[in-house]
Amino acid sequence: MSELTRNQYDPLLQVQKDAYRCGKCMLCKWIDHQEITDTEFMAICPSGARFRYEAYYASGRQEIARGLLEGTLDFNDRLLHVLFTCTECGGCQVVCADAGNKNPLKTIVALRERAFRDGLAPLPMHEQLVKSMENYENPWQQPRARRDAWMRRLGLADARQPEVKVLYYVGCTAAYDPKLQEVAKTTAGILKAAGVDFGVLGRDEICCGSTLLRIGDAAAYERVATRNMELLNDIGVERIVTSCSGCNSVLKEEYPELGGLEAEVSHSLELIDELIEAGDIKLKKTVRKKVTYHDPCHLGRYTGVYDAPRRILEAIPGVELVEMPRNRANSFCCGAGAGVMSAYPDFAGWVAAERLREAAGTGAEALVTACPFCEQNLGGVKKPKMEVLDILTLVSRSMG
Amino acid sequence: MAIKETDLTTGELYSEVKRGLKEIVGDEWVSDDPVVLIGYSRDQSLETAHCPDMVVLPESTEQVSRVLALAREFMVAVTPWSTGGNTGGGCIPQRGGIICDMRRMDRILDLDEENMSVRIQPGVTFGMVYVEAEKHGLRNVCPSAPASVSMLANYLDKGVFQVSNKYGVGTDSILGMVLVLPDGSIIRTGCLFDGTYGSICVEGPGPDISGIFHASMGVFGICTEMVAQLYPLPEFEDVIPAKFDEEDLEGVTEFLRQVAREDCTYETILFQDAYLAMGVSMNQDGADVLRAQMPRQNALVYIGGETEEEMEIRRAQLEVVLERTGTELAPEMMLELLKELVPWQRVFKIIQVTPRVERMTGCFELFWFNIAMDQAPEMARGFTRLAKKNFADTGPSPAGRPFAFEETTFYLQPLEFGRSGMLEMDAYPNQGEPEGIKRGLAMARDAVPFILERGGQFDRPYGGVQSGFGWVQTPMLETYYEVLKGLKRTIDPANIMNPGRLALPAEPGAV
Repeated sequence: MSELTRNQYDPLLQVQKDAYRCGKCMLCKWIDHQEITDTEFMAICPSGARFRYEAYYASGRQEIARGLLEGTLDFNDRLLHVLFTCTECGGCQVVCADAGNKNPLKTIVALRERAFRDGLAPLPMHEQLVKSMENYENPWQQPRARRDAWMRRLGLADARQPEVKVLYYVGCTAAYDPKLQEVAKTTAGILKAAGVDFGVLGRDEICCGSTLLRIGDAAAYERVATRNMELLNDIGVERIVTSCSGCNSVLKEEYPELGGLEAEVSHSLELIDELIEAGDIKLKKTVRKKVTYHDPCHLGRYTGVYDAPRRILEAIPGVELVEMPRNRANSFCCGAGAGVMSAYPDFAGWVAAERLREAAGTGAEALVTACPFCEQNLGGVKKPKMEVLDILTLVSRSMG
Repeated sequence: MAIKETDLTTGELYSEVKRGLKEIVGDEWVSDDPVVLIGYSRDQSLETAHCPDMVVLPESTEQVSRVLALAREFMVAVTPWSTGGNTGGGCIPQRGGIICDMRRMDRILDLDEENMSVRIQPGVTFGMVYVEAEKHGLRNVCPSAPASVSMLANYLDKGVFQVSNKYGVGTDSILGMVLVLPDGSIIRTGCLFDGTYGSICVEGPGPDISGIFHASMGVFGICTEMVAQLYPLPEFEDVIPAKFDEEDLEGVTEFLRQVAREDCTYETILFQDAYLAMGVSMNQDGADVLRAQMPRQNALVYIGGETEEEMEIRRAQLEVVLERTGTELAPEMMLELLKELVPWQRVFKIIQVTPRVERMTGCFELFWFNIAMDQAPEMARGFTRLAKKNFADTGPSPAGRPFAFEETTFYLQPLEFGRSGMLEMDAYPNQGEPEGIKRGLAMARDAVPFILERGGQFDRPYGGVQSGFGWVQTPMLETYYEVLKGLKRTIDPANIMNPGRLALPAEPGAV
């Protein structure tokens, strides 16, 4: 879409019918009622659970879309708060798509796009992020030259070598956050040990654009995603694996709308699940730990990967997996996504604490996840304090 | 108490009300921001959206009491809002004023296994109670409304359930209530009459005045607590489908009446194919496939018992009725499908039929009323003619819509041993288009007098100024209506509670 067309076009027109047809069944507030096991943990919408007013749920946001379309409502600070406290976790979408055949998530994305179109976004707290994307092609204001800092002395292959079949697409968070670089190192170590012909792009890797897409900056997202798509298609690998659930869902589910990637895309744990099944990874050492698994929204609800992480955990000797009341498609978000952690850190922390309270209730010693972004937010919770681990850390320990 | 002649449009008093509400519940739980208010402007009905002026979220009966006392002092309209799923415009604040959003009062206060009862707040959903009751081998009775609906509000509004054949309508399950009256005073009824709800669920002192709060759409106050009956969860159960020809509405009605009179079932209901297929299918494609294989008229009979022997006795009773009425069972595929719906958890799935029906065009326009069973066929045929008149030339169906706009569905449940029945007649206007809403309202204007003229009785007088379902019958009831107005004058002289409902005057102080 050209800039001119974009400025004239109201993104809310795409979701007008849903806004009017929302039947107010109110199911979007909770997990599927037939799957509730503990009524204390039945909320599915983080912003609704915290702020309680109807506007903070999908059903209320449909009314906001209607109000903007009819011209009876204008943007104000509260509206921006309502819009940008949504983590776009997709919980409402799962329930509504089943029960009501509507797409509340699309409405939320369209509302954010409208905020951008009208010059009300990015939020001041997101401006740095957008600028960072323009200047450094990552959201963390980090120089390109430091993108490969995590892999120095690991001797990893360049993915552009003709013999390389698999690209390990590290993602910005695992590449730059010193606490989470361990995820990248562990992943690379496991792939190496399993004999996978993989390579990386090092400092030439650029952001997938997920953050821009989720905060509603459609134009900037398209620019970044198109450039990244060209870069990845030029490499000629057969498969791209990611550590980050957000990268995985954007590459797999969103890039096709812009033309798509030639290579197959999967999350690293999907590949590792296959390698365990094929016997290329041996899990020999016992890791005595009772754990619970947090389904990252972009891995679970967005791309449907629920079984692979559970198979991996069950394959590790000594690991006992206990489920939280909200799991799989009913998983409660960690609170970080769609720019919430950068714009509203207190709220993101509240959501993460809620999730850890649920995890602690299972009696697990550790919460295991498969997304550096989730790990970052959940790991920052002070109370209740719980060990938060990436699933591949346990795989690595068991491989010895 | 001096009543101030004003409303919320006066700036100074507006600020005073807002300040007062904040003092009661805290700053965080009062808002007059239009972004917040628009969330409360619509419900499941075709009624025109209307925003409140303020919303308040109390967390206790005491806070509700203070909110109403304040509203009465300033003569501000108050509309109670529990989970917001009303099908008749009941929680749209048509006079503006304050929405009293009860969702922070969402606790199950007690579940008494021995006496099979549960004490709940307004924000508690059917689903929540179901989950907790099941842990004790009990169940609440649930409607075809979504499990996300407030159990307290639905019971108070005479909800009809999938087991109403055996256990009656919602109000029949109420054992006690705590209500805040429009002046802020608190009244306790039934087993909660002396404030010491305990292990014995007595009926409370007589004469029983709690009936005036039933199906009253909040015009007499706000219910903040309820004790409701629970029932044993049957160990054994089965759903048996009987089939009828396309036009044999008389046959199916008589079969339902006789089954109800035999008193051998938890429920027996007529479901037409489209409605049933949507109700049991997780998506519309599945519903279309199922519907193509179903008989047009399906009478579902739900039997069960504490023991297998008890269930088989019920089955034998049913077989007698089948033989006597010459009724055949539905095809094998229906039996197979319905087997998947038991045990009860699967039957529970049928119950969330409302949102699945809504997935077609946003809402379904439902007219439900009580009627003598033998009148149902004529009603249904007449309704079909009205739907053809109002929707026939609506235009091409949007993608995914399973049947033409003019098509209707029916749902007939015998009540009280078949003495009467609850007939729901549904039309499906397109809520996504202004033309669809216009046609839906025209349909209501045709259908309501049609039903009333033939003796249909809207025991839940829903509806707003436009669709006006049941409330139009209230003034026709003459002396009954005068007494109702007298009660309103006594209990709510300032007319602050949900004004304009039940055909009562809408202006403050004008009852």
